[in-house]
Amino acid sequence: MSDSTANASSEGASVAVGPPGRTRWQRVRRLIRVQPIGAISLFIILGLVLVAIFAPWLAPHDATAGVGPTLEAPSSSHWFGTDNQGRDIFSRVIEGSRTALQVAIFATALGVVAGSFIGLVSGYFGGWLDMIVQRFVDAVMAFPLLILALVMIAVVGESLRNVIIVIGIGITPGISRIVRGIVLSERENQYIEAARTIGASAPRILWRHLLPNLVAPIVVVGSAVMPGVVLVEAGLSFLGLGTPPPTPSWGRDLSDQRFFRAGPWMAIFPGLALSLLVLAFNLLGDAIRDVVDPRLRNR
Amino acid sequence: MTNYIIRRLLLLIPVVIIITFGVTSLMRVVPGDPATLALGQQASEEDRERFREQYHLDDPLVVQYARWWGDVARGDLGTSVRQRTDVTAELRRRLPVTLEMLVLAVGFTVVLGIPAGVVAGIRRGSVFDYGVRLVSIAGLSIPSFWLALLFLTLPFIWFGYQPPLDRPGLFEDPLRNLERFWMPSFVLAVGAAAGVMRITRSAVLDVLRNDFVRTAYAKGLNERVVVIRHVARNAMIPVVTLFGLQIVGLFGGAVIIEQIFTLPGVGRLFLTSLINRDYPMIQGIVLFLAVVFMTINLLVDLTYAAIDPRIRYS
Repeated sequence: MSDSTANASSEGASVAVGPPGRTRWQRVRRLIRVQPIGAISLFIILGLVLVAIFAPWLAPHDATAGVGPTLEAPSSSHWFGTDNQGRDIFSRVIEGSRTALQVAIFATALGVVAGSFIGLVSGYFGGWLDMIVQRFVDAVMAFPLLILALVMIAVVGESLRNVIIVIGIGITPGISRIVRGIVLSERENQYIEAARTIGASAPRILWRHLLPNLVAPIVVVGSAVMPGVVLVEAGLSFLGLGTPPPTPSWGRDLSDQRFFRAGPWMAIFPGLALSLLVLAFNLLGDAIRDVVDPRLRNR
Repeated sequence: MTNYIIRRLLLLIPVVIIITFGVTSLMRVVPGDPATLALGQQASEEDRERFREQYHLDDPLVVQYARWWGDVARGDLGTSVRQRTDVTAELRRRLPVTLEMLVLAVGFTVVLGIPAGVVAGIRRGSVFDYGVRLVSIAGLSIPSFWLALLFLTLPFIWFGYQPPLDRPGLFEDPLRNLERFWMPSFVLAVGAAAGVMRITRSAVLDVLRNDFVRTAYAKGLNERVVVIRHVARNAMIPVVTLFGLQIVGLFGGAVIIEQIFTLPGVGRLFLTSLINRDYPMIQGIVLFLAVVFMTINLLVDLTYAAIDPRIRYS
C-alpha cells in the first residue's frame, strides 16, 4: 500500500496531495495551489459543519417559535425575513443545517460500511453467494434512491434516525457493486495469492490485505454519493416524509408553497443553503477523485 | 444476440420476484390497519371484518403473494383499497401525464446536454467550455424541486405570470398543453442535462486523444465531419450509460415535480398510495416501474451494440 493512500484514509484528501515529511501548513498551502476549488469546497463544508455544531448559539432567534410578524421581508432584525408563522428564517436555515449534515454524514457512512462489506464478501468469495447477493443488488438498484427511500420510510415512519438508516440502506447496493468490481480485479494480484499460501484466513485477507488497497476508491465513491444523499433527504422532507416537525429541515421549509408568492424569501434562503451544500459536496467529490486518480484531472 | 436477450430476460425473473415480494412483505409490516384506514375510525368491527375478507388481508403473506401473481397473470393488478378503482385502469389513466412530462424532459436533456458537451470538449479551455462546466456543476447542485418553486414564484412576482392549471389534451390545444408541460419537464431535465453535458464533454476529451481523430484531420476531412462522424459517435457509449440511469432517475424526480405542479401522474398516485397505505396500488405501481426500469437497462445495453459495431452480445 502506498503511503499517500494510507494518509488519505485517515486524514482526508488534503494529505494525499503533499509528499510526506512536510509540515501540515505546507501541505495545506500545496492543496490550495493544486486543488483550489477542492480546497474552497472543503472550507465551505467545514464551515457548514461548524455552523451545524454551534447552531443553538449562532441562531439569533428560536427557530421553532414565532418571534416576529408573519411574512416580513428580510430586515436587520430578521436577515432572511420571517415565514408564515412569524418564525425567523435565518435561524431556521442555521438549525436546518444540522438535519442536512447529520443525514449526509451518517447515511453515507452507513452505506459505505455496509456496501464495502457486502462488496468485499460478494466479490472475494464469488460463486452462488455472489450470484444471490447480486440479484438483490439488481433489485434495489433498479429503483431511484428517492422512490426506495419513500417506500421504506412509509413502512418505518418518519424520524431523523429512520431517514439516515433508510438512505444508508438505499445507497448500499450501488457502493457494494463498485467495491465488488474492484475486488474482482484486485483479488487476482500476487499478494493475495501469497497471503493465501502462507495460510491467512479469509477474514484476515479481506481485512488486512484487500480492504487497505480499496480505501482510495471507497473514499471516492463515498464522496460521490453525498450530494445525492443530501438531495434525497431534502426531497423526503419536502414531501412530508422526512424528519418530522418541529426539527427544522431545509426540504420541509420549502414545502409551504402557498406562501411563497407573498414571501419569496421563504423559498429562496433554504433553497440557497441546500444548493450551496450540494454544490460543495459535488466540487469536493470531483477534487477527491482528481487527487486519487490524477488521470481524470480537469475533466 | 437473441440468446443474450433471452438470458437477460431470464435473469430478470428472480429480480422481479425479489422486488415484488420485498414490497409485499414491507407493506405488511406497516403500522396501521388498512381496513381502518380505508373505512375510517367509525366503521364497525363487522364492516372491517368483511373488508379484510374481501381483500384476503388475513391470509398468510405467501398465500396473498401467490394469489396476487395469479391475478397479475390474468392482467389484473387488483383493486385500490382506498379509491375502490381498478389498479390497471388507474395506472392507464395516469400514465399519459407522466409519459408526456418525461418525454419532454428527455428531449430537453438531449438538446441541452449533448451539443453543449460536445462543443465544450472540442473547444477545451475556451470561454464556452468554462461556461458549460459552470452551468453543469450548478445544474447538478440545484435541487429540481427548488427550481420548480422558483419558476412558479418569481415570474408571478415579476410579471404576474401564472402557468395554466387546466390540462387540455395534446391534440385539442397543443400550445396550451405545452405551456402546461414545458415547465415541469424543464426543471426535471436540468439535473439530467447537466450530468449528460459533463459526461459528454469528458467522453469527447477521451476520444480526441485517439490516433484515428488525427488521421481523420490529416486526410483533410473538415472539422464538422470529424466531430460528428468520428468523435461524437465514439463518445456516445458512456453518455448512453448515464442516460439510462438518468431516465430512471427522472421517474424519482417526477414524484416531487408532479406534486408541485399538481399534475395527476403516476408519481402523485404513488405518493398518495404510500401515504394511504394502499397496498394493491403500491404493489401494482412497483411492479410496473420495475418492469419499465429493467427494460430501460436492457435497451441501454442493446444500444451499445447499435452505436459501436465492435460490441457484440452472444
